Amino acid sequence: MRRLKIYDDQDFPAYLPKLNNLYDDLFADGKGFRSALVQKVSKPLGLSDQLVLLLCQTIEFIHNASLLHDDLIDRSHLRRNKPAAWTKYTPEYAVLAGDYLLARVMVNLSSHGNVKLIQLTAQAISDLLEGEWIQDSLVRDFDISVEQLDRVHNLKTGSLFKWCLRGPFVAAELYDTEIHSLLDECGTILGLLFQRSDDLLDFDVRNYENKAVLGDLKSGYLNSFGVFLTRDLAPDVRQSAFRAQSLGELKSIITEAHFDSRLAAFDRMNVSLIELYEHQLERLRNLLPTQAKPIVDELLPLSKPLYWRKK
Amino acid sequence: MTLDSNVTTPRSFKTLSRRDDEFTSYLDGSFSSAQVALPVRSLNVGTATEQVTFEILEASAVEAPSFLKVAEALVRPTSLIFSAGPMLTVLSRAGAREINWLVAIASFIGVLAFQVATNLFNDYGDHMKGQDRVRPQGGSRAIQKGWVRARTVKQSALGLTGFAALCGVPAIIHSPVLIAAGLALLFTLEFAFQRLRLKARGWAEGLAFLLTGPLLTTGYIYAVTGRAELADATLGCAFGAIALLYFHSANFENIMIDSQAGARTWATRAGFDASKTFYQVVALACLVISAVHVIASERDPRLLSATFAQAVLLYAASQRVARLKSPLSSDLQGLRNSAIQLSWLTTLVMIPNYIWMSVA
Repeated sequence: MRRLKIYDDQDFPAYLPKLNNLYDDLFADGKGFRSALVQKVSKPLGLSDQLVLLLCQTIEFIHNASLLHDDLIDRSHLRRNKPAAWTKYTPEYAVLAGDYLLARVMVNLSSHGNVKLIQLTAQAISDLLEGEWIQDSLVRDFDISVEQLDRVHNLKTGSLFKWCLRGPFVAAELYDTEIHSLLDECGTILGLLFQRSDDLLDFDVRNYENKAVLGDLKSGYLNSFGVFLTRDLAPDVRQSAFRAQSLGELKSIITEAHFDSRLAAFDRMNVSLIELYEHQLERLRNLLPTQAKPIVDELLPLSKPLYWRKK
Repeated sequence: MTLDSNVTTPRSFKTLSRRDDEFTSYLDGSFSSAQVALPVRSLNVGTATEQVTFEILEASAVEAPSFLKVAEALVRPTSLIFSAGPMLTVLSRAGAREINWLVAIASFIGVLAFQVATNLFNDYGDHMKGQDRVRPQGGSRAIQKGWVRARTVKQSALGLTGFAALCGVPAIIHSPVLIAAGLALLFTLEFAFQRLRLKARGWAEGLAFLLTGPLLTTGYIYAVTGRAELADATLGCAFGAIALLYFHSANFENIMIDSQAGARTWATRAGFDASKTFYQVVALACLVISAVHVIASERDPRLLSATFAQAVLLYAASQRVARLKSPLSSDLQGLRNSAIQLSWLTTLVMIPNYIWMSVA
């Protein structure tokens, strides 16, 4: 998949101090997974290069705006192994730069003129913010369930994946309700798989990018694997586990065997989710117009590497 | 979206739309006797374009608990206190009134059977309409987990309704005027079928207050003794307020899902913060009504022990609500159990006091 240059220097006013430097840092090492997803859906629909760029820019701007805000909310000092924007610049600049990206999204989309696309995008941003809001209110809640966390992740992570799948269809002015329901469903599943896989990184599982370990737990946030790992433990063991300062300490508290068996069960649950994703895509294939059917072949191979984090 | 983590073989899914002929038979479990269809995903719930994805399993592959556990999940025995508590308590304060024990026992069993039937109809109705398929904590979950087929639940509910009606016969022979009370009791079924959409219009709480409160206590004691007093009604109000607390707690637990689905409950109308305040107001109302019943109607300070016991439990529950920070907070889940405990506590403290008072 061709890697698009998401923005030019002319996209942001040069007279605003630090803004372009902040964005250069922010966008430099992003994987661009969401814009790649947009391209996979856009190509078979025959969207123009200009429109595909607009869609990719939209999703990457929203995603990166959320990262700017997220890092500040979580007080995360690192983003992609570099100082987070709020530490390198200032918290005020980080907030404003995030807001500015969201504003640019609306300026760009309204210039394009598809009201339904603006509506879909505004809804995605709204869902994302709802998810952020609720997630922040769950800090130090160690009795949360996986189902409850799924609801947060559906808003926070799933909203952008859903947009990636539906946005190109709306841009192509294809509004079939049944197709959009299925795209929504597939986006939800991809979002959950991505989030659960990301949650595993915090426990150093398939952590090929060497991300910081146990950050969520130490900051008082029990992620989906954390819930899965600790929910059947005796209360005193659970309390000790929540206070663990390193993965080694955690494993010594809950035992390595327990960790491995819960990981295997977590993986099985998500393999089932992958099977559900594949089932829904086959249904989508039956509904799509002939020229759009290759979208299914583009989307089918995504779920496994997304969850298993194959290099 | 938590699929069972114990299954290792590839899964078989089938998606049906409400327009498909087989839709209802898969949903109510009548499509096959050898297989079960577990709804794993429901889209566009409540609309003509609703679609449900089922996981198809051999019936023998479902890991159901024992029959007793399944029955317990469906019957929800602890919640029967909402009808048993008011009836037993008002009976214990009958004092010198002459009690028709046949009517007392038959009506008591009949009302309990009717509450169980309502629970079952509710499980069936919410499953078929989709509400329990999108609410992860909705209903008993016995149908969604494949422990029992929806059709069986409906048939059991119908059987129990018939049994409850039979139990009501002695009361109606004794006092024909109670046909009106029987008809009022049928309103309970509105909770399951929602033909009048009272739940969606935010009337469920008011209906619950009346049906498990003053209407139940006065109707029951009238059937049993041929006479009802003002204090029977105020006692009913005390229990009705607890039922109101239960319904608000249940709606509050589901505030986010109901809000996203566009359902209008008192909780979704008020919002998260006002729902917390409303909980405290209803909790306070429980105490005030209980105190008014004791001081103004009964004029006996011994019964204040019930009010004090309620105050202790409600203080703890109110503190828990005050701590809530999120509609998904784990403290919010199971909040309704406090109201069940309150109803048990009120019953268990008041009955010995009434017996003591009548003996003295």
